[in-house]
Amino acid sequence: MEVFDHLATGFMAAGTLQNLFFCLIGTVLGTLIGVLPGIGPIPALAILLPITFGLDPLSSLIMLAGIYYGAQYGGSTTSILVNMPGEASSVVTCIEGHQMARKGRAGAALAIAALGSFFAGCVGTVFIAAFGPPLASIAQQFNSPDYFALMLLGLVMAIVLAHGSVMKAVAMVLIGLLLGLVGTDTNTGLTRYTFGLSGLWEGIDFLPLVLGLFGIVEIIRNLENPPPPRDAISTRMRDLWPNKQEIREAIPAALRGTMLGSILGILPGGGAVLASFASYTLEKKITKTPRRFGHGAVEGVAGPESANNAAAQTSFIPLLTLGIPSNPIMAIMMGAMIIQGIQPGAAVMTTRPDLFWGMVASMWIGNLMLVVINLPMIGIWVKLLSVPYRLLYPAILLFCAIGVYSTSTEPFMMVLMIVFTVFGYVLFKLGCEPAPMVLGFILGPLMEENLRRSLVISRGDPMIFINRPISATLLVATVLMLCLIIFPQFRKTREEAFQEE
Amino acid sequence: MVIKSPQDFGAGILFILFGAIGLWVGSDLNFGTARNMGPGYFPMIICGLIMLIGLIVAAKSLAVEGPAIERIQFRPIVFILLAIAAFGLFIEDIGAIIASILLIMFAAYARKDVNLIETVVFAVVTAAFVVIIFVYALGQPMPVWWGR
Amino acid sequence: MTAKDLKLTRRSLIAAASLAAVMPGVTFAQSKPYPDGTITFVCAFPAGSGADVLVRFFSEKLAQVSKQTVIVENKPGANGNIAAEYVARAKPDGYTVYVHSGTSTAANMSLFKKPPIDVTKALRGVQFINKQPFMLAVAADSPIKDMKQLTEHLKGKGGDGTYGSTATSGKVLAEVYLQLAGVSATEVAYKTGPDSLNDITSGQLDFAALDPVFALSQQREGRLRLLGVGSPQRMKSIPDVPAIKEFGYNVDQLGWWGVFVPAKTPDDTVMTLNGLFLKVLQAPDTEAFLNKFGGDVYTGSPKEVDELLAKTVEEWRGYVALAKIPQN
Repeated sequence: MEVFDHLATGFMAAGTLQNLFFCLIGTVLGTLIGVLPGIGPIPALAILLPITFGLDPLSSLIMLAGIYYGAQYGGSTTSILVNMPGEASSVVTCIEGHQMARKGRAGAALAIAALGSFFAGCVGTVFIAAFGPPLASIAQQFNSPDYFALMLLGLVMAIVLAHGSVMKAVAMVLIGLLLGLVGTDTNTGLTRYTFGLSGLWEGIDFLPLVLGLFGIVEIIRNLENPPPPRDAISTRMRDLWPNKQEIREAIPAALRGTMLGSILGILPGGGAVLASFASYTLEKKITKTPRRFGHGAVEGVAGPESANNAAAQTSFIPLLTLGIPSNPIMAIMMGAMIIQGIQPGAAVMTTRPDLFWGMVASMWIGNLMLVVINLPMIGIWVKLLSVPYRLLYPAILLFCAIGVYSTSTEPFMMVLMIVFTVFGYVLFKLGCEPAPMVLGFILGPLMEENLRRSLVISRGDPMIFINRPISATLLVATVLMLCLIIFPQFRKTREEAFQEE
Repeated sequence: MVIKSPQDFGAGILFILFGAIGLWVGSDLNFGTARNMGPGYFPMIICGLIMLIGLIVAAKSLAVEGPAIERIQFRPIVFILLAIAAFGLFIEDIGAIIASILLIMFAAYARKDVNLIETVVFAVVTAAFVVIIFVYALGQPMPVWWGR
Repeated sequence: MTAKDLKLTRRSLIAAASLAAVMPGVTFAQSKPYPDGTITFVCAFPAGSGADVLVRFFSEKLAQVSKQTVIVENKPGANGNIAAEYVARAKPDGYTVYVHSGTSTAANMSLFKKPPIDVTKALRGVQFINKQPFMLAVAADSPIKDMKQLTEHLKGKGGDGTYGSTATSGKVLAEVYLQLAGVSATEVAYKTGPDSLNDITSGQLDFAALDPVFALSQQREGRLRLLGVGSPQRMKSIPDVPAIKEFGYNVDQLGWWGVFVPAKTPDDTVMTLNGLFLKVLQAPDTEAFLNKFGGDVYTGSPKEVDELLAKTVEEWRGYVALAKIPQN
């Protein structure tokens, strides 16, 4: 089969000592960056970009790519260990992964995340190789109304993320939406809700918001209710590794997550972020024991982690096949390619097959390196947890602060972090969950932008959403999802009503 | 009026306040029409919905039993916030090392029974470590000491 | 007891700090000629964006010719005002350098009700970087083959037409053309080029006003047809794209990037920096790089930069009014 020939070319190109070396550097750096809360892949890529100017194209792309998906691996580490998401896609891992850690299953959670990611990475690479171009052309069909419908579906899925009261979850999504609208309105260029502060012009920064809401509130929570002193954490392989039951639960979830992530990653503009959230929703909805969610359900780690790594791989497809960057990170990669004299697009596959297939092969190699690096590290990470908390938490706080400051040297970031810590604290006291809010924050503005844009294009005709097949389908799916949420509620209230009688 | 579910009641009030403030701040934005939405259209509707949910949740909390609000402990949150504030205030003028030490010191005092010597030593070591990683290894532009 | 300890420590710290701050002043007399020390480039765009790549490229190159360390500090926000203000308030010693679109810097004077600084007074020009015009484009399979046909098409639609824009410069280019052609169309705004692509290629939008990097890369991919550039003449790097002016519409929108420093920076520092940038700009790989980003190399003297900045500020007062851009 032709594909195998191509892959052979790719592996030969990627397998040179130089490229292997850069792959290793990229993945290690990426992992470190993912682990450090507060600094994400985008600033890291930007900083390291000039170094790649002197390298040859394939090496520089391999290294940059390695940083990207390496950061995905690393991000889950802090989510699980200390409830600090390193970037948007790791937020979901906090929910179940950290609960697993609290129960002493940190090692298992880390292992599942690493293995799930590796599996997803391999499958994602195969996807690119076999289905790249046709898949990308489907993404080409998405116009503004379709994006609106997709984001709407995503927001409805956000409600499922909560395990408490549905009403409160809806309110949280809406609050997140409102916070997301702070900043400059794309459609008119006017600023909204910025209170005259220039620091809010581009909107509320994601990092201080999420670190304050999740990470720092977690620290305060632990200080208020110190968890019982942990017994010496055993580092025997048996305790670091998931047990048979956990593996049995994880595998199907990883498979589903991979499928979901591979498809969503291709969609430009938010597909990859949706992946982990969508996977979590799926797992929660199809499980027979939903009560476990929120308390350390294995599927809640395996699914989303696989999804976001699969999405990370497939998000390269639009760039490598069509020359369209699907998220800011791909835009940096595109910049790197242009600087190297390569015009990203359909022609790359035919004029520089060594580049295209070399990238594909190196992604697989990179995933392998990552799992080899990360698995033994689990022991170290778990040992790190046994450092007395009184020393651990100030260090974590410092990493957060300095990490956020380094991405944008504005002390205003600290103010934002403080504001959201306070807000997160209030939410925690009042039993409201921050996760749906975060999703509302990310998807809301995109949804509004596309809604208004679609109406301008159709000159005010709302039928545009029904006339297009993609948006019509997605809207139907949204309605179905709403029913799935509302009807169990009805049954529950009826049950409660019956019980009171 | 018996509040059967204090947490939910508080949440309801929070939502109502949030929505109200949102409506007030955004009132000068152009509303537009459904066919030609202005920048204010969406936010206003969202605020309205939030307030509505707030009312429902607060009302329900008077009828349905729910968890009570846990006591607010001031020491942890106040000191953690002070730690972050100190960092933000001083980093540009005094540099990363001192700001980091300040942060760790404040954060440490968020709990009781703090050993001063241990904290100072830990603060200095961690501050140095962190600065080495961020400023030298990663090349981040931030002042290490006072001045630049 | 602990609070008092902290107070004492802080006071002695501030005392030590003030002493240290005075020290550099002592060595002033024996300082080496400029440049001698780390130079900071300020970038008004977030890390990783297309513009950031350009700034980082130049930081690399300048580091090579000046043999100093050059770092890039990102200060995004407020359409460049945050970065511009930061540079204006920095020490005028040539070690804080603003690399940014001159067009955007000038436009800010009109885009804001209360601009934080008067760019013609608070900054001074050092050197140009490039000329980068925005362009008008249609889908590659569109029946519209040139600007005249576009005007006919829009006339036929009688004001129902739409166009996509991804930046203020794009909007202004489109609006100026529309006014000169005597037709109208509604703007549909996008944050970035890729966001607009699908709507253009599917025909939902009649045409688009795009930044050169994106427009060129999509033209090479065969997805877009470029109808014309906003500059009054064709660009050296893309000679097959006509200038809109050739079709009879007197459009003169030349986007340009430049290098700026605080206004009080001494003349000899500015001239030295001008020369260093000139060396970088004359290198063939710089030209290749800039061409890829859709522009021609542009060089000049610091005085010419100041003059062009002032001219652009005036032009944009008119543009903002014409394009009815709301002020913030």
